[in-house]
Amino acid sequence: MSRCQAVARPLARQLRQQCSIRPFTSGAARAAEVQQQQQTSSSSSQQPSPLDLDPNSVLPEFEAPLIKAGKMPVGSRRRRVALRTTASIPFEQLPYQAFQEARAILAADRQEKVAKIREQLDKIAALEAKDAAQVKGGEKMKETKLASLRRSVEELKILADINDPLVKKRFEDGLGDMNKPIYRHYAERKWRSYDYRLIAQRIKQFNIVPDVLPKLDPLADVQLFFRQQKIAPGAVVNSLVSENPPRLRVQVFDAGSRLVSLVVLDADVPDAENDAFSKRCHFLAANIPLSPNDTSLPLSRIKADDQLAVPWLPPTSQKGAPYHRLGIFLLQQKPGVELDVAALKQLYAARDGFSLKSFRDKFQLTPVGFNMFRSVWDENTAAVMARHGIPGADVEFRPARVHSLKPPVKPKGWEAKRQGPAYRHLWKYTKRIKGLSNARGWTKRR
Amino acid sequence: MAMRFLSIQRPLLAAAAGISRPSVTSSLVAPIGAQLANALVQGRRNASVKAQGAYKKKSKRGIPNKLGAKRTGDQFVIPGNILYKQRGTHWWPGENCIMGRDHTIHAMATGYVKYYRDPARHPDRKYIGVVFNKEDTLPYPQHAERKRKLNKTVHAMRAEAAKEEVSPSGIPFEVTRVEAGEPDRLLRLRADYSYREDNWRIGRLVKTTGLKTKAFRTRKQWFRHRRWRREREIAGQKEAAKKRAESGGGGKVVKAISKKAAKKAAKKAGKKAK
Repeated sequence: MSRCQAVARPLARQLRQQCSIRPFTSGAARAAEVQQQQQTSSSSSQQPSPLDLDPNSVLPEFEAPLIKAGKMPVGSRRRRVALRTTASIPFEQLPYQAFQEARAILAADRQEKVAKIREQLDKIAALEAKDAAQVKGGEKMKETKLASLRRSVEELKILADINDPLVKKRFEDGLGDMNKPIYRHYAERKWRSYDYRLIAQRIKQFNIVPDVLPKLDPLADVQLFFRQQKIAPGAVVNSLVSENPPRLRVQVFDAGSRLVSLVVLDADVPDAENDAFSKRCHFLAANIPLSPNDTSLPLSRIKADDQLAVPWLPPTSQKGAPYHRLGIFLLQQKPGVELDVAALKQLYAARDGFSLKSFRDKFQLTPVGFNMFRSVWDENTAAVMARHGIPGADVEFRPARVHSLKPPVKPKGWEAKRQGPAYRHLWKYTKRIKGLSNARGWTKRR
Repeated sequence: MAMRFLSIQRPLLAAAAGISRPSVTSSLVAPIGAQLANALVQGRRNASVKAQGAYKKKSKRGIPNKLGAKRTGDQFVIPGNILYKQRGTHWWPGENCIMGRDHTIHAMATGYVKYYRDPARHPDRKYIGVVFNKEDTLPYPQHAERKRKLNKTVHAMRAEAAKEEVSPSGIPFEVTRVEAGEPDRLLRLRADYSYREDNWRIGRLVKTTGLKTKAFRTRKQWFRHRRWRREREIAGQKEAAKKRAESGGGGKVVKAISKKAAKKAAKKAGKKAK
């Protein structure tokens, strides 16, 4: 053994002993302890880290304060958790060669599209400057050409951005600016892929066409919220929930601001006298400004004199009556035309017998949005009707009896023949037979 | 035999050929003769012979299916009336009608029967419908509002019958069993005057015990869990062995081997050495 070894030996033994004394699991256990401590401290104190204050990486437990502060969390929760551990490297610095090559190609394509847009804009300017008499086909042809050119410019605007990964990311994060055509294009495509089809199916299966309108093809996305809860189209809503007016989320997909009218219509009001159904207006408002950027439309906030015509009436259904279809119709007004709400108030104050078709025709409106829910008699309906002075909570509907077309048949058989007083001595056998007769007489039908 | 037949028939045959077809060649004669011969062999009966009563025999009749229209156009019907019985779909259910399991068309409303076609719905199909007014014609205009009837009558709402608490014999219908540390149990009077809990309530008690009867929903999940558990155990053991080796706990760890396995290994080693 060399000198240095001899010197080092006790040291090594010491080290080895330390290692051997500690069981191999202790390290892991201590780590777990530390983690637990951290967890308890973080959960008990609810101290949000800087990552929790960022909408891009906020954890579910810190979402609520962030939303209250006006910052909506971005993307899915799963993605937000993933973003906490990955550095957000900009696209230009990502180390994938094929990706960077592809980006270069897409950028070149965009340049091409932008050049085309310039070309079309120049053409439009030239055509506008030209006198209509010099254009072949006159004023009409000039207008047609201009419209065609403008349409192609709109298409090119979408095509220029449609391959940009950053644009797509921004749209999927919900950060897209709906004033820009590309984000509206993405939003419409998303809506058409499912929600539009669902609404179209509800229109068909609930016979909204032809019961309420002869034709209805929605162009805007209308979502329905009662008490911050999204209601699926056609769902049955409890009468207590629908006592207060809902909030709508309306997304239009064409540029610019416009005025719309809003109608909530019950298409199944039972009319017992005529053995039929009638319609009732539950809400009517006009001159509501809508644009692609402002989507929230709470019905309770529509109060202005030049907007609200008929206030909200809670939808109720009487006991035994078939379900009521409550349709929410968004009708676009002619550009620059405001409806006279005072006249509307006079016309439709009665609510009953409201015809959406005649309303549409009278004021030259075009239906653009639709959503619906249903209402049936439930445990809260009587209370809601009492609170709002709606009559009819004390009656119920029962199916009307349909009588057979066949003439009544005299009862046949030995017992039936011996019911009379002449057979008094046999009554103990012929009366009160289970299933045939009782004390009041012959009960068996036919 | 056939030859003799032919020779007998020959004069007759020649005469027939001479009358009907004077222009036919002699080569055609032979087949006609053969046909006549066949007729005789099959036993054709001439009009001069009286029939022997076979015409009186009835055809074998099965049970009739009684298919077809049961109600004519414009006839009054009520819900459930059978309008048409058929095999397959010669007719389809139209307005206020439904088709049964055996393709029978039934009325679903009180009204008048109409037989019609609706090219907007289907180019080929024939429909049976029921209208409320006799003058109406089907099909209705495509975008007109549907004609519906409420089919309900208004009645004052029935008051709910008050539930009695005590049975006619003077004992309560329901009693609650209260036991410390256990959920309250509702016992109900039975027909045999015993008090017993409802079966569905007994079933609910399982939830209060916190027992988990089945940890794994499927057999596959259980096997996968077992496999993963074993893998984890093996990985843990390996890691432990590694750590032990690092900490120098007694050099190489001798693997515990059964006597039989040791003997086998020794034998193998011996063989290799040879």
